[in-house]
Amino acid sequence: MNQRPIVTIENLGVSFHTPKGPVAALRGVDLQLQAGKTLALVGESGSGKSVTSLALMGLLPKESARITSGRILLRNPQTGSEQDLALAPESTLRTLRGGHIAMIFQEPMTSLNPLYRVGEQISETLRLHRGLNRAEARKRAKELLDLVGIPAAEKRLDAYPHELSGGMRQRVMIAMAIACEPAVLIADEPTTALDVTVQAQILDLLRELQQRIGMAMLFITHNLGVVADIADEVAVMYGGRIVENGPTATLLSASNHPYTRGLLCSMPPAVIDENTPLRLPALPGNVVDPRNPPPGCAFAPRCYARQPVCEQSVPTLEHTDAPNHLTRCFRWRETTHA
Amino acid sequence: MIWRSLLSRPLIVAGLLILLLMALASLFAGSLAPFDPGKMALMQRIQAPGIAHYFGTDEFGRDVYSRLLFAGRLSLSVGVLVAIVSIFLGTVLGVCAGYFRKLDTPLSRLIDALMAFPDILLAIALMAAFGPSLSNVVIALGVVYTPRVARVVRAVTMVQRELPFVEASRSMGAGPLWIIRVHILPNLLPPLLVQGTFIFAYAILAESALSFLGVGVPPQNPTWGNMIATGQSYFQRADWMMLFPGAAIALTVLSLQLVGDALRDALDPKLRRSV
Repeated sequence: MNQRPIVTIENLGVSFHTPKGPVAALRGVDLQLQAGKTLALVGESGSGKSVTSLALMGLLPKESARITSGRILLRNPQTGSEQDLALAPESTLRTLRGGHIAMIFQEPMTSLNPLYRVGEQISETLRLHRGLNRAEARKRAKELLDLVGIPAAEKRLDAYPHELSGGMRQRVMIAMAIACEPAVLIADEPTTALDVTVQAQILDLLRELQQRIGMAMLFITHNLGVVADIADEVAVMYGGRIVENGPTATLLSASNHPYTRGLLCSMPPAVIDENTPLRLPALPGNVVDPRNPPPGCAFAPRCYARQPVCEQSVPTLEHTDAPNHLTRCFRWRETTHA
Repeated sequence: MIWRSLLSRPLIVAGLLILLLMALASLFAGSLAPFDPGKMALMQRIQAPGIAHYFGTDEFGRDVYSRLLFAGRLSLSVGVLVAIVSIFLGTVLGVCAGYFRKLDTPLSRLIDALMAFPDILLAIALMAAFGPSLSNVVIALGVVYTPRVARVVRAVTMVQRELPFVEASRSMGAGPLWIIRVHILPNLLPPLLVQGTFIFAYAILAESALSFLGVGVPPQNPTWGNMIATGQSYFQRADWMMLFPGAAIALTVLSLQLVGDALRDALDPKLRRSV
């Protein structure tokens, strides 16, 4: 087996132009996606999760956003050749989108065009990338609806989006995304708008499809419960950087970055007993102001373990004692068993 | 849904019926008209409406009723053609300005510049440049009404292009032309339909104004506008020469406005009355 990653993001920097000057949204992001594996990207709003996924899709708004540094290497699984998406022209990106890299969005309610039957919308991708004619595309669309577990697929092809429930619509979105069997699937909070039972079904479905197609999945979420369920590996983002990266089990049980620990502590426990605090602990302070980031560690102003050094220089991503576990903290040794 | 909403109001039904009547009358002008609209009968000049000539005769003894029917053909086709021309040009301009950010500023300024001229003045200037003929009237008025359409189209396009399903389509590898064709144009249809009826009405008025001013359709082809223009000189003696074409214009425009207003309400879910 070739263990080289499908996607390698190196030192990716993205900044947005605003009337008050450029604002850095990503400040050196490193990520790798492996075929058949799921990487969960976790972080609060404004940490750079969505910008990372948009950069990977080449969908950053051209008018305002600019890639300031780094590379996004996409490896072609057939030929093994690599291509830097940060430099690729729009026409190349367009053939890759939907074909090699596909995306599922957060809002199944609005991500389908209300004017078209779902069968037509699934066919859209197939006709764009595979050059299928109407009849062929319809046949394939039916197979896809079967594959994503929609009952009476033949009939549903002719349904309009408003006739389907949220979970069904998300299944349709997934069918559209996997229509061309992409090598990489980006799922941007695909279960946030769904209720919990449907969430679990969608996660099962994604896992099943992943095994079938062997695609790498980048799963963006801020729900740590979902992370535990689906991810092989977790990357935690804060202030436009990855602050901790490691196998899911390590990260959830033996995290040593104060931010990740703060996130984990602010989850309600599954079992409530007399030792449970009445109020959930919350992280003090606010998200980094990207216009005015702190000079040192971005998390330092909110960190319980901060030292003078944290406010002066930015820590690097270091290997910890656990295998494949990286953390961006000067004091990870002290905080590990705090 | 839309039809039910339209047909539930008597005024709208009246408007639609009048339009239908006008259209049919113009269409079958050949068999409905009792006289040849161009045939002069100098012995019967300026006769008041009566049994022989329902709407009287003009200064050359031509039957006003027959001329009115044939003029309707031209006036209504000018309206329809102007609506088509301006919707086509306006949609192209508006979609480009709304979808491609870089084109927005130059195109929007062009649209503003066109809008800064008073409609009729711009039309007169264009007619003066092209020379009077039916097709030139259509082109000139089409250009005059293009900015109205372009503005509406630009606004709708700008809203549409940011919708999640457009981004989803982009993430599937769709290019701008595909997105415009598949996702944006169908959503432009309702506002264009409404704009179309209004432009139809304005164009009939403007054509009349141009003909009245002598820069419109040449007088050998009767239109409601140039009938009024010639009738004007005889207004004291023969008011019917102006009265009937004037009434035809007023009725048509009124009906169009009624239907346009109703369409706007019917196509906008927020304004749609629950039936």
